[in-house]
This record gives sequence, structure tokens and C-alpha cells, in this order.
Amino acid sequence: MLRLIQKFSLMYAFYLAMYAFLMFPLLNYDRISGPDTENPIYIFYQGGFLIWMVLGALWAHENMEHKTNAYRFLRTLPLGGIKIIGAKFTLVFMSVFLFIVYQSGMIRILTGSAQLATATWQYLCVLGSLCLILAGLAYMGIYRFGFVVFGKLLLGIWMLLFLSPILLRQFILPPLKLTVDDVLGFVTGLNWVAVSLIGTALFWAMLPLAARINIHGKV
Amino acid sequence: MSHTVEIENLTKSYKKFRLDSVSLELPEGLILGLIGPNGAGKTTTLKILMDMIRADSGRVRIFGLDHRTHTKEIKNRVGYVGEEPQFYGDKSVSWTGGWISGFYRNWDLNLFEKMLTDFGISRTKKTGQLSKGMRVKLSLALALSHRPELLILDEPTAGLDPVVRRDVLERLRHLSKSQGRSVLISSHITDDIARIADLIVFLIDGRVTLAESKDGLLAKWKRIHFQEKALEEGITSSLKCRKTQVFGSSGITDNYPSLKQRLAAGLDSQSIKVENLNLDDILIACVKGDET
Repeated sequence: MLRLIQKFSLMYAFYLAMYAFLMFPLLNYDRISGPDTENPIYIFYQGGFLIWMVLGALWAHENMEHKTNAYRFLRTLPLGGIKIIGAKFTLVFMSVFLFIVYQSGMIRILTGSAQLATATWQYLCVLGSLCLILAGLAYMGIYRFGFVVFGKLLLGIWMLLFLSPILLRQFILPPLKLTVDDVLGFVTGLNWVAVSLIGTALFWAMLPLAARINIHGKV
Repeated sequence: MSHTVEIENLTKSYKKFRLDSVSLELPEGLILGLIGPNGAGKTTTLKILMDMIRADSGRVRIFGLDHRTHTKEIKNRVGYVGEEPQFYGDKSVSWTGGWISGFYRNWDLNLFEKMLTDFGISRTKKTGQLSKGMRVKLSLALALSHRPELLILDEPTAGLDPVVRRDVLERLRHLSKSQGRSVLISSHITDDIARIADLIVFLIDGRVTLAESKDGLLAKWKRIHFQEKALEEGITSSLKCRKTQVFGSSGITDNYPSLKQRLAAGLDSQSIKVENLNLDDILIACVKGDET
């Protein structure tokens, strides 16, 4: 499986490196330069970036696999289906873990605040669990419907789930008065250990299911 | 004789196609040619053998092992060339060989290098830049480099120039006759199959319509040309693909040895002539049936 992980890791390494060397310093300019160290928005956006980075790498990688018909090629090799999919799941898991460690570590180094670093860790563990579940579902969706069809479905789902509430709140329902602090308060109020364990368990439970869908599916 | 491949009642349904209770056996050391028109189910059958897709029902045993529970062991002993060979297009030929070698127990780097040289494949070229013929050659080199006991080839000669095509077929023949490897090859180019196969299976509309040794098949299937009333009515009505022309009629029999004696008189008087058929003719007769 290590051989597969080495091959697949390029895209994830690219996204992680891009974030580590470009996005993180840029987004933390104010924090690095001093005036805005305690602003909670710096914790808040990291969750979004975690999901963007991991799912972005996953999507870019699957796009390449789709273009090269890689699954057909990989299935001719003496490998069980679960190893091929397992290598992909392992990379997602490693990426989430590395991102959380990097982000919390950098916050600790830049602010010198252990409390802020701990809050970041807890918040990212909760968001990381969500990211793992979304990644597992994305793999199953790609295998079930094929990359192109699932891409369209995903766009439709995104429009429905994310844009509709915004439009409803804008024009029909009363505005939702949520602040960054409210969201952070809610997320960090969760038992992050339990959420992380449940998220991780669910993610790995999806692996055999994804492998099964893969062999019967459209890729 | 033990069997390298045993398939029993393999069934797979798609919206517009059904592989219907396909059964076949490939004895050790022989070459089996799977012939059929496009869309007959050849590729589906071979992909099921490679566990690339799952059958709805039926049983497949390769080297006596269940193909689903012993996937890794079986694939270590099988060389596969798909209909459209796929590689990572952004990687070089050399990288591809090196990467794949790690998955096989018996990878022979010297053999791989030799085949690259024989096939004239550039080691530094990216696989995405190779022509279709070169991709097939690379796929063959990769499939043979772990010295497989069984080769599964899906239309391997499509897209190859005649010189390389002949070379590939000779290699396959040599592997089977000199080294006892079994080969399962599908093609709609019946000349290729006729050149190397020991056994022939016709797959038409998802069903096995004929399974026989090549020599037996060619001995049984003949075209009979006859002048009016030279043939008994019972024989005439049993012929396939009957045609009536200005100088007489013709039709195809699938049981010539049993008719031979009854045709003797006509053959002597030259009112009946018998013509050998090739696999193409037989395939067309099978597809068209009694259609005249």
C-alpha cells in the first residue's frame, strides 16, 4: 500500500505545501505583524481551509484518476480493491492530521498563546471529523455515479444546501444573527474527543463500503 | 488435463446487454481464442476474470482458485492486456515499469528491458505521448515481465502494424508451446486467432454459441456448392446461409464428417463441391444463422 500512497501523495503534498508556504503566512499577516492577535476570525477561517485543502486535493486527484482511467489500470495489478481505496483514505486521514498539527503548532509559535493553540486544536479536530466524513461520502459518490456525474450532483447539492438557506434568510425568513464567536462557541463547546473518535470511526467504516461501491460502480 | 481457467454460468446484466450463463474451460498450456462481434461480451467476460467488474452470478476459478477470494495470488500469476491500455500519462515508460515491478513477486527487469528494446519503446518517453500501437506494446511488455502462467489479452493486436502483430502472435505461440503458458485471447480479427489458437469459443449476444478445438471446427464447418437436385432435401434444409445463384446453390454445414459419405456420389460427379471455411465465414454463419 505504501507504493500506492507514494504515488497518490503528490497532489496532497502540493495542496499542503501551497497552504503551508503561501496561504497561511498571507492569511496570518495581521497576526504576524501584531495588531490583531486575539481576533477569533483567525481560528474560524482555518476550519474552512482545512476542508478546502483536503477535499480540494481529493477532488484534483480524482480528476486526474478519472482522466487517466487509473482505476482500470490499478485493478489489473495484484492488489485487493480495499488496498487501492485504503491508500486514498489513508492520505486523506494523514492530510487532516498534518493540517491540524501544523495549524495548531503555527498558532502556538506565532501568538505564544497555549490557550489559543488549544482552542485551535479542538476546533480543527471537530472540523477535521466533519472533513473526514465528507471525504468518505465524496469517494462513495464518485465511485457510485462516476466523477463527472457526481461533480454535477455535488454542484446541485451545494446550491440546494448552501445557497437556498442564504436566499431564504435574505428575502423570506428573518436574518440569522450569528457571529463568529457564536459558531466558535458552539463548536468548541462540543466534546472534541468524542466527536473526533466518532468522525474517525465513521470515516474508516466507510472504507469497505467505498471499496465495494468501487468494484460495482462507474469508475 | 488440468484447467487454468474454469468459468461456470457467468451472468452479468447491463441495461442494454446481458452476458448469459457463459461457461468455458481453458486447459493448461493451450491458447483459447474468444471470438465474437463487437459488443458480444468478450471484454466483459475478461474483465470479470480479472475481478475488474463483478458478475451477477456464476463461478470463476483460475489455477483452481476462486477469482474473488484469491485476487492477489491470481493477479501475480496473470498477465493482462486490456482493450485500451491505461497508464499514468504523465509518467515515463521507465517509471511505469519500475513502479509496477514492486507489485509483482516475479518481476524480471532484464526481460522488461529486453522487450522495450525489441518493441522499440523509448524508456524516457511519457506514456501519454505513446501512439496506440506503442501503448499496446508497452502493455504487453508489462504483462509478460512477471513471467505469468496465464495471459489474458483483450484485442491485443488491434492498432498494431502487420509486422509487430505477427511478432506478438509468434511470441504468444512460443510462450504457449515452449513454456506451457496458457493464453486466453479475445479478438474480432479472426485471422489472428486462427493463426495461434488451439481452442475457439464463439461469443455472440452474450452467449457461448460454439466451443470447440480449432481443427475440429474447421473440419466440421464447410461450404457446400451444389447443382439443383444434387443434394438430398434433408441435407439442403439443414444448411445455413443458403444462397441460390445462376450456376447452382450453396450453403454451410456444421457437421461435414457425418455428411461426407452421403455426398460421395455428388462429389464424384462434380455436381457437389466442398469448400473449406475460415473462422470469419463461420462467425458470419453463426451470427446470421439460417438467414439466406
